[in-house]
Amino acid sequence: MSDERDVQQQLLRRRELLKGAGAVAGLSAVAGWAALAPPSWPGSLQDPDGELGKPKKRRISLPKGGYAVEPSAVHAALGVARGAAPRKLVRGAVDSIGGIGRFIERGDVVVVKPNVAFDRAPALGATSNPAVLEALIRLLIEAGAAEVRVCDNPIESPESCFVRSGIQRAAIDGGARVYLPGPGDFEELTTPGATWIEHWPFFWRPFIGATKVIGIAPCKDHNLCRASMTTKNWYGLLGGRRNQFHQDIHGIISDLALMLRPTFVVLDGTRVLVRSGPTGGSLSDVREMQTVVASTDSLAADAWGWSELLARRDEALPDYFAQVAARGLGRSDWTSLRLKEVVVG
Amino acid sequence: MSKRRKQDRVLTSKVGRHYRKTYSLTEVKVGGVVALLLGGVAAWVGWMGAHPDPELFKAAPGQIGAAAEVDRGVLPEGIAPDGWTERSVASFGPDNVYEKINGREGFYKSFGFVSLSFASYLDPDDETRGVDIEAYDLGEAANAVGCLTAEAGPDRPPTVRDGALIRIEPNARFLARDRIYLRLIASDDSEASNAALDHLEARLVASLEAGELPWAFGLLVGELGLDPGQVSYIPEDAFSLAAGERVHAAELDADGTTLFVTVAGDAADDVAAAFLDGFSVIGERIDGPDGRTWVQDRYQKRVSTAVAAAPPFVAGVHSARDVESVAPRLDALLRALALLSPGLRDRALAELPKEVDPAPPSSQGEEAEGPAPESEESDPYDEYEE
Repeated sequence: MSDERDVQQQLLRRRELLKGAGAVAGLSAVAGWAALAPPSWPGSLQDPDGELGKPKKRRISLPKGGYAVEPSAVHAALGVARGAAPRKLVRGAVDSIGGIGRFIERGDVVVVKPNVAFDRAPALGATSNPAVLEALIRLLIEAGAAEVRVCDNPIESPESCFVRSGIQRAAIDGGARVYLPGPGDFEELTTPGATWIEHWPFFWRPFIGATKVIGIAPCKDHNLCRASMTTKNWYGLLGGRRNQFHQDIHGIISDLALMLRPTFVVLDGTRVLVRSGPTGGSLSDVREMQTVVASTDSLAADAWGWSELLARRDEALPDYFAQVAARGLGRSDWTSLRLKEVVVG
Repeated sequence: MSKRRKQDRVLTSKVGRHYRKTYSLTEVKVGGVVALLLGGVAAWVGWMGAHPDPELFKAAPGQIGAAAEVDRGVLPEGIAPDGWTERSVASFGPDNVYEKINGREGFYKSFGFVSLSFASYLDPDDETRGVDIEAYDLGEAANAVGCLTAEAGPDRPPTVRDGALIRIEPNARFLARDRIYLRLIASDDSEASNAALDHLEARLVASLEAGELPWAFGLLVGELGLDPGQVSYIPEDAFSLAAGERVHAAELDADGTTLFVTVAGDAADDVAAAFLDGFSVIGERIDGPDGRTWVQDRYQKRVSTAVAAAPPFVAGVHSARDVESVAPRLDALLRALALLSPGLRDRALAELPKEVDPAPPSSQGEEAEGPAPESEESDPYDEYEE
């Protein structure tokens, strides 16, 4: 009896059969559409070249207009301080372009980008002077910055570069947080109009929530672009296989000027590497110039450094100056800008 | 299902009683074998975990803290100064040298870069004090010497010591040892750093052959009496004229007047003509009072020339103030080339590209054939060693 009951339970009634058949037909039609419709049709799952199946990269952008403050008709575009004490040098240079209060508001989160490119002692001039960096950090905190973040992405071991260059100690002593690059710290940055880096990995983590950005770069000879100063300094924020850009070093520096519009830059001319750059190695190649430059115009600061710190005023400017100027991103004729020079203790 | 078939099943359909109560001897045996196999696999995994393949732990180039695992290249072990520690060792090839000297690698590649061996030594008493050693294998002694002289500043020119070139800086030593260009760089110029530099230099000199300085050193320094700091080597595209490679040069004055010489084999006349053509791009040819053709550039009025001399050589002058003052220096160079010792001549001929046949030997050719004779002439460095 129970077997017969089982058989009866398994019998379908006609209506249920039709419902089932309809459902199967509907599902088949949907599956057929998804499988056979051309890739551009809605709901299509076709992916003939596999591109649609790739994970979509998150692309980020820096704020429109960068991190620059309003231009001033009153203050000098270039501030130059000469003296021996790093704190007075930094303050003197920044005061010359309007003072730190012009740039930093209470609560600002400030990214400071020194050049920590090499595993070298600070005296060799291949990296930013840690004493100048510390002075800048203290000035920012004094002005009310809520947080100061120090970051760079050296190709050499970052840990080693930050320690031996003295940058890590200086940043911590000054009250900043050090951001060393890790694999998950990069995002693809979109820089509209850039030739080489329109979409390129960027050391993004320190920039999350940042409101101001300041570059602090040494002034030094460079084997490829002849001089490395504040504009070239942003190279250290790129990820990926950036050494390929050496094929067009001036082009990439021009892109860097487009990529990042800083609040202001500091050209560290306390020790100038005049030969064998960018790595250096000999103290004989380093000149103690005891000078710090601050500017809202990165290109003008570089031009001043080329002329007055590297003392190459009789030589033509490196090509990147013309390229950056042609994009309207800076002035290489610094003599036409307002400059204020001070001598500090 | 029959009773027998039910007995065949290990798993039963009854809730709470999933297994048979009894098993056959065969089943137990098979189960035992399977258990043994699984145990063996587990033991193998455990053993491999305790004895990993060393390849897995090889450090990536430049990786810090893996000194014992990386290729030391030409750097010997156990050379750390007393009390100092070796922090890191790494080696780099043409494809990854930018990881160490990003932005500067092109300079060394222009001098035939083969590899870079790097080691770093730290003073435990002062964490900021250290010495880095960079040993560039540049393939040929001429490249090593050329690299050293190209990096030398005007204040501290290189000198010859123990048959090899050295440049001493307040915080560094730069040495050319055969095909190796050594850079020993201290973090400061303190007494402790210089003691460490001295120690490391001595250990490296003991382990790396001095080799022979390029033949042109014998000519320009040994025969013409120029200072080693005046001599340079341009491996490619000398003076950016697309005319000559492997050019040995000597800057005669701070004004930039440069004497140069290269080996061109049968092509000496063509190479000399190519130099003149290159100079002429920005100048006009003039007949010099010495009977030679010179080119005077139209902007700075500097004069240059090149002549095929004592084949297979090409010698010349680049960017002199006037012909009268420099022509005697060129004459002296040409005389020295004509009287070049067989040993130096053979080494010069060795610089010829392999596909170019060397010119017939000069009047001293019979002596020049075969290996360089072990004579006083073949070791011209005695005359200018310090």
